[in-house]
Amino acid sequence: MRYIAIMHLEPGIFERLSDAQRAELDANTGGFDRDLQAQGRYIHAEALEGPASARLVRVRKGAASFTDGPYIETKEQMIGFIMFESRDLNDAITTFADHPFAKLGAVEIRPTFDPAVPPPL
Amino acid sequence: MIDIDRIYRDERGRVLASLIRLLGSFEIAEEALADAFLAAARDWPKNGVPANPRAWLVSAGRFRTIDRLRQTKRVRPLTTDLERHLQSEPAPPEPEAEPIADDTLRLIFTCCHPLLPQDQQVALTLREVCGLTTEEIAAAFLTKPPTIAQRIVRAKARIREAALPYEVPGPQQWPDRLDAVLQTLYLIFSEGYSASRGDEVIRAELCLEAIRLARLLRELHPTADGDGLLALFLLHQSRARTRVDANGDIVLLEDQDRAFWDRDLIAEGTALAQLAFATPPISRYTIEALIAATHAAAREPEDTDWRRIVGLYDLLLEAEPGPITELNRAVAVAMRDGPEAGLALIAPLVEGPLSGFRLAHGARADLLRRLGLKDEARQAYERALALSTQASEQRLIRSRIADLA
Repeated sequence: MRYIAIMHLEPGIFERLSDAQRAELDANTGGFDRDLQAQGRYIHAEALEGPASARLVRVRKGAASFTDGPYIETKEQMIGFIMFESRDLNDAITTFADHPFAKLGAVEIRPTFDPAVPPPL
Repeated sequence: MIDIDRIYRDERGRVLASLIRLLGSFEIAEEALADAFLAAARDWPKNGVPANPRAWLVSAGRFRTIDRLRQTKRVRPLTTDLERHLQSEPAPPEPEAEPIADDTLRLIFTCCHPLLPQDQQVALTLREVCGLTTEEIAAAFLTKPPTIAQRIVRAKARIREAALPYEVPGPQQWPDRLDAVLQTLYLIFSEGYSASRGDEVIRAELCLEAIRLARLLRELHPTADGDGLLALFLLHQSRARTRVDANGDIVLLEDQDRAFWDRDLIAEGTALAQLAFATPPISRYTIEALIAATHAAAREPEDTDWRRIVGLYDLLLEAEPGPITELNRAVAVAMRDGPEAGLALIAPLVEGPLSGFRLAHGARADLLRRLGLKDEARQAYERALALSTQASEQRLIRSRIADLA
């Protein structure tokens, strides 16, 4: 099954780390991705620019509007995601319990939608 | 062509059980299992399947874990426990010499530890021993995957915190532990005999594994309940070849070609069931085995001794009271005394505790059909169909409805 791990971190958390801590974190997150790749489970991952760079697109009654945002007052922001293969939900959870961001913030595990097999005739 | 899927299906459970014992952790063992099969997929096409693929996989999984531990020490601070475990253990002997045979049994005893609540025992066993996924277990129990995931995570945490050993306990502990283990074997066999997941009706490897473990249990510690359980497995297994047709559809007992039933398994199962019956108290497994033995003794469906079967269901109702047992007894009564007698017993069940149970509506529909009450039969089949989630079962019900027209 395919899952997405969505990384949530408090804004500004990277800035508070020392250079050495930063380097270690980079090595560890990179190492995590390589582990997934070596197991043939890695599909795709992206880190995102900060929420301040986001634009919201809405179409209402045929008219489009483009606004800044979302300036939601949440403590943790989505900063990136990894799409990966796992045997099941437990496998996905235990895999990401080892991810450095699970310690720094939170990792949200979501199965991708798997349309049910249509009933036979 | 190397059929790695088949090897995975056949060997996964036992390789995992060995890795859990060697590595002392469910999570790390699962990772090692994935590594081992990945290594096999790379190595075997080049060098051929090794003489003992199971030992090869256990050894590959174990060594890859140690390698990974060395490489990624900093990435995975969690592995320090494992490191300690590997250092504290004297190096195990070469895999070929290991008593792999009962690692699965050890794992079952751990999964069934009385320290774990029963819902956790069941979820853990289905996942770790039967190889079902969280999502499949959730579907079988009509719950959400996160609920099942939580039970499994808690059970593993409990095993870790309490440092429960992966071992078959000494004889003095057997009386307290055996019931849960027998129940687990029953669960494994049932899952194999009538799979709760998708396309395949039968998962033969689970039935064979349950039989192997029941035999092993009997060698270690023979009991009447264990005999009854093994007898039940053997008698059901004797019909395995005739239960599914070429299209993968279920063939009902009355339509099976009895010439292909396995007479050796029937003889062994019947003898064991009789042995268990001679030692009271009689367990539900023994009574169910005797019911299966009675069916097996009939060369043609018309020869079935329904009086004896109803009598055994009366006994079963004492050992295992409940609406499902009552339903099965009602079907047997219908065979002995005619459809009206069965319908009278089924009616209160269908309107009461079994209103949401597809097989109750199906059984009632069959009896209505035999009485020639076509409209009522059709309605009952429709209700059974609406409650059914399995493709092959749905095809069976649809063909019954078509026959009524």
